[in-house]
Amino acid sequence: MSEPDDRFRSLDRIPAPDLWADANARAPGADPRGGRPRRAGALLSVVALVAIVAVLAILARGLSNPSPATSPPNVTPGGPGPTSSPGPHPPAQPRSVSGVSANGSVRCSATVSSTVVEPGDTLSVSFSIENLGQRPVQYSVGPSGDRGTVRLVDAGGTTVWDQERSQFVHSEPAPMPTELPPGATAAIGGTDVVMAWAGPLRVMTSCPFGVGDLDPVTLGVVAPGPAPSVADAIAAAVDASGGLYSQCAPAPDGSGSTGRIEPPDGSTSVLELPAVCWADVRSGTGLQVVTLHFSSPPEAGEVDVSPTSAVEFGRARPAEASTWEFVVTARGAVAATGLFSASSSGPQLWTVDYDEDGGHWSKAGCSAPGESVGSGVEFFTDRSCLGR
Amino acid sequence: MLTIGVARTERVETGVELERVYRERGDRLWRAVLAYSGDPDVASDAVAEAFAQALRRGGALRDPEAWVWRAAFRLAAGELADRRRRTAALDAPPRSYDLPEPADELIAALARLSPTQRACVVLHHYAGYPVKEIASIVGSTQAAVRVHLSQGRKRLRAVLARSGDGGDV
Repeated sequence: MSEPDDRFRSLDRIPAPDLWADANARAPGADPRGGRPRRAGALLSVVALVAIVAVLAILARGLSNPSPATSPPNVTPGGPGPTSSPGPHPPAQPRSVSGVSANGSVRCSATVSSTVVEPGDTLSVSFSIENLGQRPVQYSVGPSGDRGTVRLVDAGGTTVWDQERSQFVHSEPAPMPTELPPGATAAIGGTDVVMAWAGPLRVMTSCPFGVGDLDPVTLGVVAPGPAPSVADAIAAAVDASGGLYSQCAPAPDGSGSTGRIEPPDGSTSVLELPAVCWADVRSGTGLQVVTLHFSSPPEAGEVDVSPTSAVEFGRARPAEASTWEFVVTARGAVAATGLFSASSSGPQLWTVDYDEDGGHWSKAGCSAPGESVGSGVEFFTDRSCLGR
Repeated sequence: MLTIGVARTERVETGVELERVYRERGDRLWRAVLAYSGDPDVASDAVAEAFAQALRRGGALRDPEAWVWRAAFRLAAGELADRRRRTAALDAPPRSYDLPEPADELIAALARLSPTQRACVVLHHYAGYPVKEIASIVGSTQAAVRVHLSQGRKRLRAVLARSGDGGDV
């Protein structure tokens, strides 16, 4: 099946029952303040609460990081960027810390993948629990289950990254609990973060089951060489974009330039996007953090995007704005976050979604005319791609 | 007497209008709630109850179809939440129904999405609702619905791809 509605159309083959008689039988004489309706009212409150939590979670995420999720590193050796020879990569030096719940029943451990990393490395922190008691412990794994949390704090005590604010928090309920027998150990997940800061940092971890904060782990961040110049860093980030910015590279100082965003697969069935492209650069010891932006059409100006706020494109349609962050060192450019974009096709055009994964682009789907916000980049076409 | 007469007339007219909504869109609503809940019993209960509540409200509904869709999804969401609470301390009951392929694969994949993502994806891709109306149905903002749609599509693609069936959603 090539289009989303093909899959959903399979639902039409499921025979639906005739419920009209049932609905009529339930309706007459029913007290709207009693029985099922009262339960329904309570249920509506629960759903409303879930919706509020979901919106707050999205807001929290948006306050700290406009990107929907951290993507796997997209290492691009060579290219027009840094030219100095990087030193050898430091070997991984994992470290674990642990704590015990107040009642002594659970030990929680956090393992940091290495205490020495380079900018652009992915630091992994994983959590596990051990049942120290005589009775089984119920636990559940997932975004809404029993999980540890991670923060990165710099030498000045400032939190530079907070898992709770940087990752999308689903509003889904905790999954079904699992039983952990006495003496057994179980993994309860963890998180990855691409290093986009100079060191030293402290990894602050916190555990569920009343264990609380664990001892901080000191994290050395060793740059592989001197930081590339701003111009070289921007060029390296453009090169790491998989061709997306090849016809719309920002000026060497990051200021806007006019060009076009072309479909990464060279497709001629979608429209290229005339755009203004610019870069924001944050400099650190041995690294540059480059955020590439584009905004289409150029007449709309440099439009910033955020997952939680409506994007003002003015009257121009179709329109799109996008942001994508890279860490650039002497070793090359690494995507620190996934590409995030917002678009509005106008009433006539359809939208073809492209997603990036590890430097490769693929056509991910198609949407009817309207607005879209999320990961990946959108291209427009005047032909229906939904197959309705 | 006059007021009662008007109320009765409105109720009859609303009943006719609701029956028209049911005959034209009831099957699609039931399948949408089935895709959302994954359970035919939940879908049947939510749809029947939504129409029953609409009938009880007589002429008070300005847009009966929109009201019924919103009520059915919220009733189903509530039933699922109730069920999760009830089964938190018990084993999940065995599934007692079969769905035809490939719809069962789609419904199983949808179950891996968060409830709000699932509702947004089903309402958009199956029921054909625009973002604004989905926001009204799920009780959220348009911006949040767009994020849920994007994330939900991405997650659904990944789940379907892992199941070996392409996942071109």
